[in-house]
Amino acid sequence: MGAKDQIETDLWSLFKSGDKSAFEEIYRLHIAALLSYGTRYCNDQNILKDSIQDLFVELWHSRDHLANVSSVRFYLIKSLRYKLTRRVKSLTFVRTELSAEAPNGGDFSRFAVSPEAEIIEKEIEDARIETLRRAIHFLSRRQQEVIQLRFFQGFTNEQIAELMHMNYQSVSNLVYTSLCRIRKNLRSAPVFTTALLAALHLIF
Amino acid sequence: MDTFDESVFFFLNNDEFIRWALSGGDPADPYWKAWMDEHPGRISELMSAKQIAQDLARAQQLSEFKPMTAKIWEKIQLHTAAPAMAVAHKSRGPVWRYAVAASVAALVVAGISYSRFRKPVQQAAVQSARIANNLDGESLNHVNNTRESRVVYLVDGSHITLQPGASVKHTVFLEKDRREVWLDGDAFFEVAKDPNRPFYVYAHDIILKVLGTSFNVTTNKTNGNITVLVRTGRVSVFKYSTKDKPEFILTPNESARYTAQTQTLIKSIPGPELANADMPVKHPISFDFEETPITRIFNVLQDAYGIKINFDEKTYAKCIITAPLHDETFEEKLNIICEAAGANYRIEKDQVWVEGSSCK
Repeated sequence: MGAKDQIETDLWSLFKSGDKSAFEEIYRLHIAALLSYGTRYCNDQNILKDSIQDLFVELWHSRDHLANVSSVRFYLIKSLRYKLTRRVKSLTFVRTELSAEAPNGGDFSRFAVSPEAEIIEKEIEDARIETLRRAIHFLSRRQQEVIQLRFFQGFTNEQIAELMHMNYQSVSNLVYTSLCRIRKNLRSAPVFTTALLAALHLIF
Repeated sequence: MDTFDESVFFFLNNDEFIRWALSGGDPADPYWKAWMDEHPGRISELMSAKQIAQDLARAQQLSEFKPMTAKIWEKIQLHTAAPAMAVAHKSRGPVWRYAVAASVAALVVAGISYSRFRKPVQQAAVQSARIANNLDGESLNHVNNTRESRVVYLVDGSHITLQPGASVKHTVFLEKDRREVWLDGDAFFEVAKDPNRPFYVYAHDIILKVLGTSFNVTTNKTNGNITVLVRTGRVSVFKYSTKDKPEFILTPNESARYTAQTQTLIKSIPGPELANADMPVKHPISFDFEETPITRIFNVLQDAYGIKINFDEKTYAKCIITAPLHDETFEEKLNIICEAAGANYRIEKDQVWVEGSSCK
């Protein structure tokens, strides 16, 4: 077990025995992920805040009956999802929106023209991430959802299967087709030449 | 159809790989280092996969949630005060936190920092020997550190008799569309009628909703059990976990008992010890002022409500008025007093400022 896992196990045990500081630390470690997850399904911030608040309050009050969990993150996300489904009629994944302003006005062509030219590293980084975001934007809702759960939340295929009500193999396939789609999106737009992608170190 | 590189997908489909890549992908990681040593020909594909995974993670970063994070935590704290704790005299925090610090010391070594969301507590200038009224961020916390019951006054005209060791917390002026107080310990409530604003009492795992009524709440500090007894009016009782649906409604002389261990809530007939409980001391503070210096009136109000009233001593030194006040709301009282003194008041930052005077 890695050091990080050990810390998580210890924190959970401490919290279960009534340690308020451990409880607070658990909150601090996972709140950003919970908010990120929640905002992709629920537009109403008040519902989201209330649900998260209820989740932790009930967690505290039921700590005596809690089992040891293998992944605190997954347990919390799953519980939050359950809470949200009770308040939001049909929980569907919210697709991304294209940001109005791309970092350099959306003009990536200059990177391809002179990839060896002096370009500030941050500019390249921003352009790379923005390019990738655009490619993700054109995925379907389910594809976006699986990419979010797999690469942002870092869940296992089995955990994703449980969250999305699919079987393990379907998850694997969905990740694969999503990656194919991203690759296709990256290469099909006119400005995205292989030279550009290489300049941005986008390997897809 | 474009296909994605199968040999790269091999890694991205592996849960362990994803876990490693998304937590930094340290090449010194024993498992992956060993794997790379055994499969040198696949290292470049592994690195590609790692880069892709990390890029995808970064491409989905969302904006900062910092202010929201702190706000949510504050509310969580309000509802999770541990029942079995000693009430501190200064609002420094209960005793158990120091015992806990020892047990988490080992984790601190591992590099976790324990930050506090709590805002610094300011002692209100009103240092009453009777009730400690502490301003903590946006809420007012009244703590009864004495050995007798003491009455606390809320701006809407409600009063709460706190038993020794009990405390209530609420926003100073109860501005929302509902009046909310958080209770720790034993108290008797007399809630002013306000049909537009239901009055909620949060006592650990249970929630009480009233429109205008009087009732008693007792909490057993060792096992967390809570008992509610209604004198007048009606009280709806909820469990925190199912707070959209009341468990039942209590009418006069009915009682509810909450058992913390089993989280059960039942209606019951008050036992003899409850039925014969002393009626709490009724209004030991009198607001019926006859020919009283206005400076004294301001001080009495400050003590009773825990709200700071700012006024210039010199201006009002000679001002004496008669104001027969009783159950009015805080602002109604201020109106009457200021009218009698020919003065004005305003409320800013949860404090009152009194200005002007045509008082001789």
